[in-house]
Amino acid sequence: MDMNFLELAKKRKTTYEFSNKKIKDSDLKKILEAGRWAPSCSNSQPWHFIIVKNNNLIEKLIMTANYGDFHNEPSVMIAGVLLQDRCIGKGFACYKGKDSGVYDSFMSIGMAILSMNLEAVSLGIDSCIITPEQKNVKNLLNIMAPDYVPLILALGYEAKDAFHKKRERLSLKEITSKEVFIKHGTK
Amino acid sequence: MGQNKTLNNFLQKINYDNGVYTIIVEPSKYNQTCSELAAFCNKKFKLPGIYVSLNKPSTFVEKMLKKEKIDTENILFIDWEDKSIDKDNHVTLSSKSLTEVSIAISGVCNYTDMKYILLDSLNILLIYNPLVKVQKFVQFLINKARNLEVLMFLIIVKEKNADNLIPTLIEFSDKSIEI
Repeated sequence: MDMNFLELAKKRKTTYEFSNKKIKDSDLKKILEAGRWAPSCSNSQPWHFIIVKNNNLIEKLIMTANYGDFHNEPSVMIAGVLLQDRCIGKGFACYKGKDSGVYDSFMSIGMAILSMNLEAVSLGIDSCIITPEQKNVKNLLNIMAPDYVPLILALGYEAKDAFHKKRERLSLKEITSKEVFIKHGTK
Repeated sequence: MGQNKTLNNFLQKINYDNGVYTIIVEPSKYNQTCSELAAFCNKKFKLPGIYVSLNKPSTFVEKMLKKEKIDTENILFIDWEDKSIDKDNHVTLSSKSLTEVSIAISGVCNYTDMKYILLDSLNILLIYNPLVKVQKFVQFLINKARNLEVLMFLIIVKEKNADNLIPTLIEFSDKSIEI
């Protein structure tokens, strides 16, 4: 697929209904590589990725998306595990010192998952990002406290006649201001 | 309270803070039960709630409730039947997709504090979807209700096509009742 980055970013969308078509291992490897090269605070790389292909486990993982919406099963899921022992600061901060109130390592996981997501789009693979309920997801994936699973990336190919949510974004004018913050109202 | 003593007794014993309750109803008592349940929620909580009307147009449901002197201002209707509605408290889905039902409920709950969700009724989902998918959807919705900390009432009519779904509902609900 040949497209510039903005086209790629616009093409990414949440897929709710996947077909049975499987993803090639060579594509999966490229997607994981994109995650591996994602930025992280102080290059802490506070992540571990669990690749799930087992249908029974995928069915159960989908059900952990309590704050998301109903999906049918993708062919692969990549769970992004946040490793607390790679975060040397307080809480989940990746640097020592005062707690800034911003936990960089969660964002690092987000950037890795997004890198993988965009790589998938570039390969013509559909996806959705799931925020799982922690207790259930940790049980299913054998994750011990204090590690977290902030995000799971579901990958596959969209089913024929799949439901499409209307895609809309606030305008640039609404989400930007110059030099200092000016709130333009909420959605 | 309504005329249905079994329903009234059941509703006296539920947890009013949250929980998921299945109402298994005979076809002959279906419409009356829906009205009485909506009336109960409306009068008891005096807070906004969602009436997901999959079986009939929401305009019909609204008329039915108004006839029972139920104030429908606090009820948000979601349906996939009636394309002609242009009212703030009606959401019409464009397809018969389970995902769209889920998205509509999430969308409403994200922007308004809802006290309850009344799903009328699950039978129709079985016409458009395989049983396994509906079972998963129901489990998903129940999880969602628990996370949102809302009361959820799942109505299912006692028909042959519902025989295999009812055990799932009973298993995952906090309580169930046959009317």
